[in-house]
Amino acid sequence: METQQPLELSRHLTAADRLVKAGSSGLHKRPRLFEDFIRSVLFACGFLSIFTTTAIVLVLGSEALRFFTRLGFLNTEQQITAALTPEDTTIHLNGTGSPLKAGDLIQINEEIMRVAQAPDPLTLIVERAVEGTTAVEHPNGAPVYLGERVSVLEFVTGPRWQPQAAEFGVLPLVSATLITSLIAMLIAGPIGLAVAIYLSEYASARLRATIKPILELLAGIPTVVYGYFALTFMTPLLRALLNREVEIVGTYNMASAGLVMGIMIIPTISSISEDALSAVPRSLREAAYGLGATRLETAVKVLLPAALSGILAAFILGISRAVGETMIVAIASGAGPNLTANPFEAAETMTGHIARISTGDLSFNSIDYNSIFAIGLTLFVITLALNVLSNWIRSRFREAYA
Amino acid sequence: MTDASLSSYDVERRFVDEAAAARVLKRRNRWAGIWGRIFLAADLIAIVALVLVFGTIINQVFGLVVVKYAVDPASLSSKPLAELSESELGAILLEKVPRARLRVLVRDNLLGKTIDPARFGTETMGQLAAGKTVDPEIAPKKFSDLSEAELVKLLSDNLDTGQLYSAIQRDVVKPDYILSWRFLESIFNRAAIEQEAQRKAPDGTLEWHSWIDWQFVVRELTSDPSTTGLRMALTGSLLIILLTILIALPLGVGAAIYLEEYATKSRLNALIETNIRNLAGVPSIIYGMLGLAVFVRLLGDTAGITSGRAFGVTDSNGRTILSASLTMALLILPVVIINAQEAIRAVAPSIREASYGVGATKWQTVWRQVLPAAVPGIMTGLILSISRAVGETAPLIVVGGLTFVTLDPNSIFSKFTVVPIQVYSWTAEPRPEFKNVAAAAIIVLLIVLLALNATAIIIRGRVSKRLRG
Repeated sequence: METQQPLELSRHLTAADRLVKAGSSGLHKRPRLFEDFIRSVLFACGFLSIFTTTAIVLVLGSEALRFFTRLGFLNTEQQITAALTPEDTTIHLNGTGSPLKAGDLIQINEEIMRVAQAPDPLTLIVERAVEGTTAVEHPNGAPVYLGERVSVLEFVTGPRWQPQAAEFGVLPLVSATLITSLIAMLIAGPIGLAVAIYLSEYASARLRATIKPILELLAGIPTVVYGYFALTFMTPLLRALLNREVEIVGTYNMASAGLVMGIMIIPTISSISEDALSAVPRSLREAAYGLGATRLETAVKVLLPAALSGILAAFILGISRAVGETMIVAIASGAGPNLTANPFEAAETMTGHIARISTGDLSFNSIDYNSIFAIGLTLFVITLALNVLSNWIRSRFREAYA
Repeated sequence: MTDASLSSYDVERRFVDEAAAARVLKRRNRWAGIWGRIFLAADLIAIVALVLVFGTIINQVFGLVVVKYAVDPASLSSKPLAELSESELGAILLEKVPRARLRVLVRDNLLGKTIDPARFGTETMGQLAAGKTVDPEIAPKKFSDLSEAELVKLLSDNLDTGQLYSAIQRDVVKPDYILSWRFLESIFNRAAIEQEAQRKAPDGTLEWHSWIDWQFVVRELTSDPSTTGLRMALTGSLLIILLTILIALPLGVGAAIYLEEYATKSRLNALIETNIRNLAGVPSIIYGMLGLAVFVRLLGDTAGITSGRAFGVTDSNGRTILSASLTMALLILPVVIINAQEAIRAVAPSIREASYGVGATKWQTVWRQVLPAAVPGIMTGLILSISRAVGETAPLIVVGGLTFVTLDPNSIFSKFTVVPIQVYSWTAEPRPEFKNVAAAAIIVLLIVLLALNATAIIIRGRVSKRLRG
């Protein structure tokens, strides 16, 4: 072996010598095209996430925009009293229905016209064939429709959601969402936090090993099963408990949906809170015990404040989950928008409404199709704000344990 | 002052009343114990809730029913129907089922529901039923000319006892579950139930029934709770999940590899990371709406890609299995990425450094060293995401999952339904027997989830054992 090595070394030296003699730079990096290709492919995969977010915002935004700019025409109960040629710009009405004024867009048969003047209640001077329609003849007695757009103000503050009656106020849906989420957090918040404190402070290792799988089971149950549970167990229970003399609790009500949503969210809150509590350094815990604090005092006066950012983040995440939850409310909470503060009435939430509309016949340019995107945009904005807030709280208020 | 005098002074001042001190301590400890029990009660509430959920389902799945048979199964044969052979079952079909219905059975089971009826008059059975067992005497005949005996022969040659049994159930016995009760009521309230059964349905039979059985799983969807089944929904779920994995796994792992191995600390990459975390928190119904607008409308009805129009499929719109899978892939992608990132991060740096040390390129390191080591974590994350996807209803409803699908989905361009959507639609039905059927479907769903999670645990254990040893 001793004799072989020098031979091989000399062979290498000769090769290097040859390279040097040839005048090339010697050792240089081979271009690895495959590596660059792979890198681009992988970057594209990562970039897909931005694409998804952009797509969500674009889609929701553009369809919602279409919702707000779309012209819907309502029958004014007015009819024209004389036949119109394509050139006429004066229209006579029979004056029975809603009055029209300058600037209104009206539609007769297929043609859309803009009212230039309305000198008296029975006469209109119009501009023919606007909005891309063509001027045609209209027979005597043709009904006149008034064009209206849904304004953002009406959308946000209107108290009724009845698309057939051209009422597009999203308040009933938002209020139902808020009420069910509130009920859910009233259940999940205290219980989730209590479970987290118990698991991190009081429980023995064996108990912890028993309870944690149960919580994971609860978290793994599909929401449609929870919806079934709400309808077949929680609602009859509430009705049996509360419907003594008078029917307080309806067959569909927000309370049972809210309660079951709370049960569903308990694992979310408890797991994140428990992580936050465990992340508090042992030194704080042991210092508290060393001073003679009881377990309760340690948990409440030392650990909770230290883990506050994580616990707040858990709560906000829980609210976000409750707001975005669909199936439980779709099954148990009712099928009609209803602006009410009574949790025992039936009311439809934003998500339940979107689901219900999608199960019916949905043609792509109808007002229903556009409206679900407007509602979806509202929902997306709310949950995004909650999630961003939760992340911000976690990063901003994280205690620095030096 | 010396230390001793200071401490004795303090002690005298503070603990002048030892009894009071002891009382305060006892009270603090007692409160700690009380609140400890309250916190324990919170855990018990969670456990009780879990028990109640499962209990409600079980309660609805078993119970007494009043069933009316068109033909009492006991009258068909002296042995229980489930134990008969194919020829015996065939004999019952021959005796009881009219010819027209036998033709429908042969067509649906052997020839395909969508077969062009014009072929019945022109082609022989040997050609129509190519690939199936056709008796040589029957092969040259035309479908329209077959006698009842020959139709039954075709059925008993090609279907197994299970399928023949369910055909008899559906067409001869025709069980109709008129009334149903829940499990606990059936046990504790038996006498009252018997009275009610007598009163409301005197000519029916009162017997124990389990709404979930193998027949329920393989039967097709009908509008009657006595005869409906889960087959369409199960195949739909299965196809969608497979396609979702095919799409989401490469994309998700690719993104995770990029973020962990290749990405520098630039603002774009930080943006990508924040993006992924935010996307993980978006409600699932928003993904459904994204799928509706992009995959169903844009790529489907307009561009024809997901509806298959560009590939020659003419009878579908954009609401296909392909659109559904793309939507679900986007839904689980953030979670897959986050899990894969953590799995890759957990791989010991020494492995990477050793690989670089022997001269491997970055991709060689990733592909041959890092990824295999991260596979258990990635698989676990994937299976957890799949568990979530199996139970998802809302996005699939919005993308166009139907509640009544008549044909088995057989291509990625088929209309679809999934098990959770069936549960939803059955729960919303007014007829109370549908609640029992929904509970049976829920049990099937939970069994699938259990199997998935068990697979995750097994895979994780086995792969890590292989890597370790």
